[in-house]
Amino acid sequence: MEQLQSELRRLYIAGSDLAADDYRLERLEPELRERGERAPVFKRLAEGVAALAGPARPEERAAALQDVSLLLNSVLSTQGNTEVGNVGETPVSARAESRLPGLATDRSSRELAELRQALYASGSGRYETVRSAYKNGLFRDLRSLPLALRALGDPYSEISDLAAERILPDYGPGISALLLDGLDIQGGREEERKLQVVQRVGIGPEDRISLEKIIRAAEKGSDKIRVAAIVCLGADPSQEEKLLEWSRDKKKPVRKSAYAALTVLDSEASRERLYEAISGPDAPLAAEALAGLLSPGMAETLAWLFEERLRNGTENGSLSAEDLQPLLIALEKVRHPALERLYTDLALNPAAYPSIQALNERERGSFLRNAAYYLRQLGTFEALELVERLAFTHPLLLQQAIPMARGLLTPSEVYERYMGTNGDSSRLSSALQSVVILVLRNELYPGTVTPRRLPQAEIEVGWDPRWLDWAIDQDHAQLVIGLARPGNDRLVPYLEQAVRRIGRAGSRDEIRYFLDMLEAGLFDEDTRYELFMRLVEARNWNGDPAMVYRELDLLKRVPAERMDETIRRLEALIEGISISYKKKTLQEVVDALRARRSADEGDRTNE
Amino acid sequence: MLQLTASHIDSLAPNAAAAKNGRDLVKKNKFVKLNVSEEGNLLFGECLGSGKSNYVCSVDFVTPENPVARCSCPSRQFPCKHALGLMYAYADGLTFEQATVPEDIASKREKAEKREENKSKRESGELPPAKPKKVNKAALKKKIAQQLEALDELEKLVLSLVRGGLGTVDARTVKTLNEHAKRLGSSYLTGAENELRRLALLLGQEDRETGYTYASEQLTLLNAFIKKGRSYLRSKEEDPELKPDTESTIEEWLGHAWQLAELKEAGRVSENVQLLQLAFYCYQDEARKEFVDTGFWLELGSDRVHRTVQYRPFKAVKYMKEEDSFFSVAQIGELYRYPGGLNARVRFEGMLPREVTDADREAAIGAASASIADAVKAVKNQLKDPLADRAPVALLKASRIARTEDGTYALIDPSGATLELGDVYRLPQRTTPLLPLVAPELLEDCCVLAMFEHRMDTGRLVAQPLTLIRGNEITRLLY
Repeated sequence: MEQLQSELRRLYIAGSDLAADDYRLERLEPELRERGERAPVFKRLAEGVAALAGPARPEERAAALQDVSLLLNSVLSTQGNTEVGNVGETPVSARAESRLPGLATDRSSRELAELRQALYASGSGRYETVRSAYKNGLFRDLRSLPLALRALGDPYSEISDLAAERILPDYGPGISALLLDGLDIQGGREEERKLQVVQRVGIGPEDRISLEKIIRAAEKGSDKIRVAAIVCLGADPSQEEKLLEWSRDKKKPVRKSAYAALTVLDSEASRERLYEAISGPDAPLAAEALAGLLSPGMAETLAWLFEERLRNGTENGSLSAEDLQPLLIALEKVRHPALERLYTDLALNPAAYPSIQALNERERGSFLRNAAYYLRQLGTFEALELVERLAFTHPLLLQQAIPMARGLLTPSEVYERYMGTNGDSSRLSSALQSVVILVLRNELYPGTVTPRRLPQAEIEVGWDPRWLDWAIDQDHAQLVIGLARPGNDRLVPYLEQAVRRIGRAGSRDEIRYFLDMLEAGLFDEDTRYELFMRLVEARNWNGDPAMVYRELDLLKRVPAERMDETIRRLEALIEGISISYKKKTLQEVVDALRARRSADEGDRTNE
Repeated sequence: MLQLTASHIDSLAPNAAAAKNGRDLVKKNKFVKLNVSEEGNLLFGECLGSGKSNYVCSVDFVTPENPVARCSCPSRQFPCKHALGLMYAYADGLTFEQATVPEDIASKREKAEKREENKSKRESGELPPAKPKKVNKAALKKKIAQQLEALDELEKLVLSLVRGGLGTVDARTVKTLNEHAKRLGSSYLTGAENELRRLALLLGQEDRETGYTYASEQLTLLNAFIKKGRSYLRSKEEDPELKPDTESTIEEWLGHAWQLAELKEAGRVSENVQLLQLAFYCYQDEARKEFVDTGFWLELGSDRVHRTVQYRPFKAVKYMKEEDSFFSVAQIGELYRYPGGLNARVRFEGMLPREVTDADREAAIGAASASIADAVKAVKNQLKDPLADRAPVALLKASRIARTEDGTYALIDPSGATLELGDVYRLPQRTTPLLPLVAPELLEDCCVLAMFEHRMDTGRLVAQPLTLIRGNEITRLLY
């Protein structure tokens, strides 16, 4: 019957027209007839085959094929074999190391289907779905494990990163073994990510099989797989020799990966090798591999090397930025007493580090900023003094010192520390003065994209009032605006005169700060209105003033008793404007005010 | 006192998004008024919306198995997120103030009561029964004639395809088949329409070789359908009074959608039934152009595994309730049974959930067939009818689940007989890859709910595990 079935399948593909006189069918027929003696179903099949292969019209032949096939399918459906041979003792369950205990199957189909859809379809919102599924613990359901693995290979990197960094590591060490079991060492990005998960999660201490797999991937894998696998080997001391060998590989990424693994390994030999690498031509590569992974011992060694270079330069003579950069990168996130000692000494005895002078101005600045930043993190009064000492030779470092001082001292102490008790700023050279202005500007207007003036309360609590006088003395309008507070008699006269300059030449930001200040509740209504109108009138309407919509809006909302005056002043202003659309804009404001006035009058008559 | 659990509310929600939005309303404190009636069977309240006035919503549990949600919001989903939120708020234990039933709801309740009363009077014969639908004989005759004609045309098309051979099929043939399918639909043969479209899909798929096997199977299926359909329609043509055949699936094949009243009339109703859902999944049936939510349920106290099916046309997805996994026992007053084989479709309107107990799980284990041979016999008996469901589901006892060296999985029953476990073509996901990942003890002395499929190309009958049951654990592999 199976033979007949394959013949019929062939005819379905080739077409029943070819069944006429088909010798293969004709050969089957007698056999079927013979069996038909015992089982009637064979007889019927034989008749059907005869009709199919014998003389007939094409349609009849097609119908015959359909009928034989129908009968045969019915018969075959009752013959299906279910037996499985050789069922031995091969365990169904994955090896013990790759089990993921505690997975349930209690989540609803809807939730899982939504996640599946997100990972199999394309379109927007996929990341959100996956992330919220992760947050809701959907990946604790066994059935979402294949989806988690799929997410690892998602073309949208935010999804695959989420899978590699959060979702899969959450399964625990078992996932490493599972991922390694399914690792294709010639694979691409997805396989590489699997190894990144393994690196993150680690493998069980007794899991020889997984270790062998990583070693195999490190030796025989594609380039990217090798790199990803080598890093994973740092956790295993027995790999020292191989890692040392790889650290001398011809390929840069392999060496880098080996350096990272050696850093994790942290054996004597590996420390020696890393020291060699970072003092040699491979330093930039080694530095990147080391960053963030350094052990305290290794950090101390590098700090020592660092100090040595700062004091005496390199063996081949003077110091260059390239000699320092790798060490700065490697030590960037390190906090170590050796570094603290070094930077302290550097601030107290700069003369002991002559080779720093060999750097150019910019390089030296960048290096000292690192030092100041390290000290600033210490957050002690002693560290502040050290930063200030550094700032004497490199004024820009006040950018670190002043915010640090503000964290440690009261506002008046901060003021007096830099400006002296009588405001003569005696301690500061003119270079330092200009840095103070810079620092204050940054502090008073935080935010990078659209900086804002600080909230009034913060200004009044956080800054000594004498800064305002100093800013007026400096005739620095932006600082005056940023420090403005009630109780200074010089403020309003200064602003009344400065507003013309601000209105005419101020940047969009400055106009905004000015308006912020007006709205901060500093001034009585008359002053506020007058300052505002002067600002509007001062704008270069015929030039190119940035239109600030907030101004127009504020104009439309002037208090009722000032409407007449506003209309008058605006009309006077309009006369002097020659650009028609600007005229129109202001005219619209005037019209709006008129409409408001008549509406108000209407209200009054109604009452 | 009204008992509401979050999972019950989830199951009432039309879709996952509505459930989530409902929960969010509670989280964001959007309910400004929460009330419960004195009898405790009506929740009502007000919820802030984006507009000026609040949405007034209520959920009426006066018939607890069929709660009625009402809301003044314009949503077309029932229950809407506000009604769902109201229930979640109650389940979360928020304070609901007692209040009298609002007038509009009281009057609606009255009307509903009246309707029920009339209905029961009609049933008991106190009132004259509602006029039976008059069958327009001429129209019916015309319809049957049209169906017969369409069957003839379908046969012609199929035969010409068989003559030419599947090897010659190209994109144009597929297009013709799809167009023809559309015509079948307009000739009242929606069942045939779906199956012809399925054939077109099989022929259009990338992997031609497996496509051929299933396509030739589909062609013989169409042959069986044409034959059976034609003789059934002819007998109907001769006797227009003939009632629809409630024993076989032919009516459904022709495209008939059973009305509950028809099933009731045919005596296909079981009363006071308790169902335990063992598996649930949703798949996209491209031939039907519908999502199909399928559930397999064990009727507690028997060994019958029923099937619930909900079709959601792609076009109407937004407005239809999306069924979901159900983790409680459904207590059902009237269970309507469709004609069919081992896992005939069932439907019910309204149910009361209750927690699954150990006794229920024991009952499930007790209902499993201890012998592969017995189960397979029943399965084969069904498969020999070409128009029967090709993928029957059965609950089987396993002494263990094993694996051969080449990676084939097998279920071994207490007598040592084996059944190959594989992934069937008709299910949307594979489940055998999950077997190595479940806790090893679940694979010994367990019960397996499995879907069978006969593979024409290999002559093997394989089964895909859908759910494992052991002790008090029900592990669902499919979703």
